[in-house]
Amino acid sequence: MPAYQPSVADTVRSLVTKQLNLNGYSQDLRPDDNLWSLGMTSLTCLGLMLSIEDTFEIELPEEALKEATFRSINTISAAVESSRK
Amino acid sequence: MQDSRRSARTAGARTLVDLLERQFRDRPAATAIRTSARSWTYAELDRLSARLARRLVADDAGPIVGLIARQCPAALIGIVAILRSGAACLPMNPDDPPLRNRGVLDDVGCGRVLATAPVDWLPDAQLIDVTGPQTGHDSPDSPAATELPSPRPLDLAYALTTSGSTGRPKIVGVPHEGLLNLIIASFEDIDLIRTDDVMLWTTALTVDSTMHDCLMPLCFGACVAIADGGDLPANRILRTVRALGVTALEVPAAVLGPYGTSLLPRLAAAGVRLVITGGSQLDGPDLGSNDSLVVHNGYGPTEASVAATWYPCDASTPQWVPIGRPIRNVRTYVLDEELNPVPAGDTGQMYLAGAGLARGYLGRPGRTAASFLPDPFAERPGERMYATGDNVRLQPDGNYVYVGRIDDQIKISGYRVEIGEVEHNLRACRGVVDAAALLREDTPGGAAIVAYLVGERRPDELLTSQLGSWLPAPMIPRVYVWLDEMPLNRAGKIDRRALAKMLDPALSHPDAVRNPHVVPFTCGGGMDTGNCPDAC
Repeated sequence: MPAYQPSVADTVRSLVTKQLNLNGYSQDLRPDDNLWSLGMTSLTCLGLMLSIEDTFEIELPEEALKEATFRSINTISAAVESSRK
Repeated sequence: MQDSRRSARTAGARTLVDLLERQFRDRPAATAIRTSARSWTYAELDRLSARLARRLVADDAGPIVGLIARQCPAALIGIVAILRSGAACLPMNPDDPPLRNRGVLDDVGCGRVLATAPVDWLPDAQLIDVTGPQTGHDSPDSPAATELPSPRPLDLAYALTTSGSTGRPKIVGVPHEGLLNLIIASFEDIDLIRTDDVMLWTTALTVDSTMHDCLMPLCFGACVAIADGGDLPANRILRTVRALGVTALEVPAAVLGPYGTSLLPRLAAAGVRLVITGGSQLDGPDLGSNDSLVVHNGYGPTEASVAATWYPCDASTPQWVPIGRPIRNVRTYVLDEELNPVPAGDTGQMYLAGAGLARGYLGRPGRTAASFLPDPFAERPGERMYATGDNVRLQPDGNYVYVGRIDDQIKISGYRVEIGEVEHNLRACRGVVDAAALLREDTPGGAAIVAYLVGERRPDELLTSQLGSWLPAPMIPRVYVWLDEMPLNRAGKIDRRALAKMLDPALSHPDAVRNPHVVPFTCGGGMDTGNCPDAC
């Protein structure tokens, strides 16, 4: 592992921004903002999941495949961290 | 398989029921339906559907029987039973507003409804039993003496509700002939089904491709797999495919276009050989680059029996994927406004004719006549052609390419929406004086219908809830923008170009769009693997 790597949360934020059309105000996006309330649909959630799995080279476990996992940058980052262990 | 062997399987079949009954007779021990919990053989499907069909016949339930259900084995048994009773199946979504569903039942004069779970607004709905008798004999309560009728080719097989531009949904009645033609072509000509396939049911019951995706396997002895449901069904698709041994499935173009490059290699690795797609324009890179998996893009309105043209992707497939060539017995014309053929390669409206045409819009003779026109090119005088409203052009290689709509119809997540119906209902909301709606791709969260309103400003939640009692969820706008006045063009009509360019705070600031309404993935061409009711 390199000494420095962009944090999981930073990478998740950039994927969320791209997949959910949030480019206009990504700096306003808070780590605990509810992405479902921001307009995420089940379709864009699928895209977000695929991009996260591709980027981190992981497959999220069965129990993580629920709405709560994709609720915010924080919850997604936590799911990524625990899959990488 | 040799073509002659393939055609032997379909020779002499006049309706879907003929093909189904051959499988009941020839492959009783084969698996017809599979879930993670259990499976049903063709013999069991035969018994359960025949028993229900006899009851429908004895009760004189036809000619149209409603079916309120999500994807589950009971729903599939219900479809087969309704067809075997000689009636047409009218699928309805349990999540659609009761007012709308009841209006549809009234419009077609449908008095008998089957359901897979109790329906609050329709206590008479008959629940479908998926366990049934364990022996080959009918239970005492079923009138075994009742002969099951043989439907005729022009009898309706199903009727489906679709958005209507004047504010009222249209109900398209489709005869056996059209779907049978597609299903035979799928088997004999374009390899969409093999007897050893396991086809996953991914579309909503109320989408016509369900009739193709579910009945096609059963007509040729293959297996229909049904997911368990639960949270985020689309995100579980890979697990479902692996768990049920799926070899073929439909993935809506709205999903496959943007996410195909990530999804397809994983599906191929999981053993999938075929992905059927359609529902909207397929737009995505590298859809033909998988060696062991082929993507087949189908095109066609409900009015022409699911899909009239098909295109198999290959390594040379461009990002804007062609819609292909007509299947057997289907004729395609590209015509100008005077119904003259345009020069080859020019853009014109696609007209469809031949075996696939629907009977029309039930109870709406005027609308039917406006869309189903006399076919001046038919060899036999008196045939009809359907005006699709789609602009297309023919490529030199013989494949058609979709260019766009001639009207305001849109597709959101594959769900066909007449903007006129959305606007009609918006204007009926309290406080709204004028309304326009647009599909915008740039909304936070993903593409959404945006409503532009003039009148007495009211909170989004009130509008959403009022619209929710009239419209299916995908037709409800996700963003509401109030204007002091509606921009008009020189002709005095709403200037949609100006609206499309409008930068509104609601579209650019996160706090302004905290509208909890989430468009479901599902309802149109979506992967509706919603919860299976307890009865299954």
